Amino acid sequence: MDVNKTVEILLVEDNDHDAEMALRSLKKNNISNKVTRLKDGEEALEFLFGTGDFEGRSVHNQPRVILLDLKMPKVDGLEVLKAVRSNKDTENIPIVMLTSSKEERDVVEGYKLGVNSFIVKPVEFNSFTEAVKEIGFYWVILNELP
Amino acid sequence: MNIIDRLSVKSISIIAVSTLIILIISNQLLIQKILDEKRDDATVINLAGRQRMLSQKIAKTVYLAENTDIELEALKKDVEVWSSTHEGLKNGSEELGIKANKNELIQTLFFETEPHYEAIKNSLGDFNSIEELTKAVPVIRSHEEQFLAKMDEIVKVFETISNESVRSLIRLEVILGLFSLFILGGEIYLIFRIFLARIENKNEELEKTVQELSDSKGDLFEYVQRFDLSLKAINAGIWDWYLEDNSEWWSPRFYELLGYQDGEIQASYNTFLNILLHRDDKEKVVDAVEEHLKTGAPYKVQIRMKNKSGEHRWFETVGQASFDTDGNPVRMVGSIIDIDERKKVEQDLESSNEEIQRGIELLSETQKAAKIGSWEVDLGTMTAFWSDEVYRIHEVEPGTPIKVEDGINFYREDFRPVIQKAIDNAIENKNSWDEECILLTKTGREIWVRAIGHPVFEDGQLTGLRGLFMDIDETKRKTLERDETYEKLHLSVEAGQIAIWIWDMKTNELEWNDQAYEVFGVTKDFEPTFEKFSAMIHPDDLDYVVEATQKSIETDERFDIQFRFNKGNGSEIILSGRGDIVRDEDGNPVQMIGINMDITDRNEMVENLKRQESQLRSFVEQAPAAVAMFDKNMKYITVSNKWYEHNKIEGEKIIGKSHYDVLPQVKKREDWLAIHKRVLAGEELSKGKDQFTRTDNSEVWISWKAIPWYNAEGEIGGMILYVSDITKEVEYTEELENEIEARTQQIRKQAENLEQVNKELESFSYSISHDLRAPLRSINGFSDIILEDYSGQLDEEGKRLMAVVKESAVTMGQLIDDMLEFSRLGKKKLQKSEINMTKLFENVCEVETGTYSNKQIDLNINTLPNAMGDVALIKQVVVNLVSNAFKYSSKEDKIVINIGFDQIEENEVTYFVKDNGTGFKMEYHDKLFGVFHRLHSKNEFEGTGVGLAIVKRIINKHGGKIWAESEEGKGSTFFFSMPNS
Repeated sequence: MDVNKTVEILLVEDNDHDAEMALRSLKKNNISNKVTRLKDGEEALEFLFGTGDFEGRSVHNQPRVILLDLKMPKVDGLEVLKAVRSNKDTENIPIVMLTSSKEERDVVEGYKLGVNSFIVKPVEFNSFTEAVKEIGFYWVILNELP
Repeated sequence: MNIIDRLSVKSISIIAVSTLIILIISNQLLIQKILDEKRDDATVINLAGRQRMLSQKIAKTVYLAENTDIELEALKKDVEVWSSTHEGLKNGSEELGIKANKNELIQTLFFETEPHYEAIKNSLGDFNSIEELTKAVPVIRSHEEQFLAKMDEIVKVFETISNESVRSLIRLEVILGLFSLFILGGEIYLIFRIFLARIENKNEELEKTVQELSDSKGDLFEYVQRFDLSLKAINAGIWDWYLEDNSEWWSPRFYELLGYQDGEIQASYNTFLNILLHRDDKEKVVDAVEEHLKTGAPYKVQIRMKNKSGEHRWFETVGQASFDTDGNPVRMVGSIIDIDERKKVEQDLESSNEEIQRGIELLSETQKAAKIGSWEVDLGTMTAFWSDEVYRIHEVEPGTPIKVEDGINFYREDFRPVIQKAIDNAIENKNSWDEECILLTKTGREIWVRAIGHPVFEDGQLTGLRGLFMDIDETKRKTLERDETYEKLHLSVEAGQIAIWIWDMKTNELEWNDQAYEVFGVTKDFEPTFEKFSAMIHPDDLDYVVEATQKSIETDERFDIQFRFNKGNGSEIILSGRGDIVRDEDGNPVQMIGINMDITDRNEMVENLKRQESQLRSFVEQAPAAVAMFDKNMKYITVSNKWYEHNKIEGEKIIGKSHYDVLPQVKKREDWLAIHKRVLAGEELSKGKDQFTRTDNSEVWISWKAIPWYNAEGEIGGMILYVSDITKEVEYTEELENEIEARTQQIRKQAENLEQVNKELESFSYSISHDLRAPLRSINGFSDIILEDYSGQLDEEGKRLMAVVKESAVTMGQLIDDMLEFSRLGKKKLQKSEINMTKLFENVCEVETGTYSNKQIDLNINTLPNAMGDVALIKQVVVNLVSNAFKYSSKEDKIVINIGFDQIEENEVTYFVKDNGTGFKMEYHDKLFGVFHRLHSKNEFEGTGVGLAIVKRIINKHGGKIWAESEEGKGSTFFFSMPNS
């Protein structure tokens, strides 16, 4: 993998099926080529801070938005969120939380860790665009679509 | 405890115990009966078994008789036994120890057995050879089987009956046992109730005691008032001296006698001793008091006291000390009476006696010195002779010639006839005379003289008169003055209802003042004599009065007595009598002067007070509670018998001892010492529950009440303390409290467990829902992918099947959501506000009508009262009920929905949603609101079966109720009540 590949959208999702559905939905709307999927929080942190498998990746080459699953093995979504928000290089990256149910939204909001939006899975194009709209990146992303 | 209680405890106990005994006995009898019956039945069943075997043995023997050697005799015996056993089983037999069974079924069975029995018996009737026996074979063969079958049946019936009867007896026994328990419980309850009632009674009694005591205090006040009145009525002033602090109380009359207003000067011993009392009498008083307190000698002194105007007057004061139980004097009470007049008289008397004495001395001196005047009249020559002394008395120059008539003319005019008469009498009747007359001297002075004269005879012929003449002016005047003083004294006592009398012991004449008639109850024409007076004295007291008088004469001591007296008008009174002896110059008693006062009232009052106090004492002694009466120094005056019992004081005399010495542990209780002080200062204090260590070191719980008691003067005399042992009650309460505590702990623990379980359930349902969602999402999402990407490769059926898969996934997701919501409701806190129900229903209905826009809808929403509740939750209720109404009416031609409210009850409104839908059978009503309970199949109506369960939970959470009425096919109405404030 090209460690310094430009990534528009970073999808962090441990469940392959959920990831597949999300990617498929985005792909159908022609934005999949800018999406990179990572399998868990640990990978996400390595990616974002240029460590581990992503040794050498520039911390200035950050994704425009992160779709972050809440429940993941090893390092869960909230921990990633916390790390992202507490680092200067990453603190401004918009984060959309992926939850299993509406109720989980309460959990996310409870932490008040700077979530920008959330999507109840499955990630469909409609819900994705709604979430991106909330962030204010809607036009940025959509306009750049080829 | 009153008698009724006692009777009822007794009767309840008797009834209960006898009932129990009867129950126990009948129980025993019952068990015996069960055993007996069981034994009888066992005998019968055993016999029947033996009979069966015997039958088979006989039959076998008969069958084999042809081919084997058999003993005919033995067989005969067997047959005999067999037939007698049969008869016994059928009709009962003493020999076999069984009774005939009267059961109908058994009788019938025996009856049915009879032909087989008879046949077999007859065939074996008489045989003497094998040949004869073999004839019986076909008969036995044809009957044996049936006979045995019947016998088996009989045994079976026996067993059934036996078991049945035993079972019913056991049932009866169980009932009896339960009944015994019930009776026992009832008794415990009744006795316990009486025990409680008794405690209540005791409290009431105590309260009553307290009430009575405070009532009696009222009586005391009344006596005090009466006492005051009496004090005012009598002439004496009363003083009451507290030795402890030298304070005194003086009656208004006391002040009055000294010319003061009531209370004008401070009443104290010091005031009396240093201000009022004459300096010269001080020693006398101090000595007398000391003597009285030391030896109990009567305290009676005559003293001079200075009145307000600075003048000393004579008073007589008497007093009596009261002593505490240790014999220490506590106080002295007494009276003063003004004896100034009397004293002066006495003093005058004394001095006049002295004068007389002197006069006599003088006379004898005179006589000796011939200084007594003598005179002579010669009736023949009608000349008079005076001695010098006679001249001197007349203040005439001795030697001056005098005439016979001068002897008369010098007398004051009013005495001249007296002397003239005496002279005439002497001349005519030869009598002597001795007259006291007033003489007018030459200088015009009036003096008393004593003129003694007698006729002089010579040869039997009256020749002249001769006599003595003396100046008795001083003596006479003193006497007269004395008489006058008596008169004055009479006047002074008139107001005081005091009888004054003078008894001339020589003449036995009795004189008394006007008041005496009233005091003695006789009319004015009553002529007093000593005998008549004596006759009126109560016969029982006469000796005492006479003795006292006698003693007074002998010892020259004043007598001071009290005695009963029958007044002239018949009523009996108590008189106080005092008297003094007047003696002549030789010391012989000549007169007795005395006074009498009616002191019946005062006596009665004293008696009443005494009675009052003794009543109080005996009341305290007999009180059904631990009561003690203390004086101001916390020394026991009296205690109830219970007091000893309560304080575990045995065989100890505590009256007069200090509370703190009797119960040293009390001294250590500083709180109690403070309380005693407060009570003795006038407070009434009590405590419902207090700890107390008894003399035997046992700890008890007590309740107490301490009140001050007041003496006749209305002052605090000490303290009355009531104590009751409430240990049992406290222990019982503690027991109850402990039990409650234990229960509470238990409940709390259960609640904690429940909480724990709830939490676990919650996290369980949460993770379940989360974990279930992922595969569901996949099913759903990948079904979509198949339908989208591979629809071309699927025929219609394939597409339908995929749609079913997808739909199921959606339903399951819905179920999970509903379930989660339902479980979350449990812990959600209500955020109450006022809800406009009309608006809420309208909004919700609007959405629904949109959904069913293709149907004809008749919707009617009344104006509804507002409700108080959590808007979000109540909205959920309304959405559920309204959507149900629409849903279940959607198959009708026309949807008819009515929304309204039924009633307003205090703070509650009941709303209803009525539809014309499919309805339900009322018998399934209970299932309506259960989780996952549905009354319709999913094919008929959509739904997960959680909606109404959620609704019910929400309504219950608001303190309301929900219910429904319906008839299948005729629509249903859902009601829910809500608080509106």
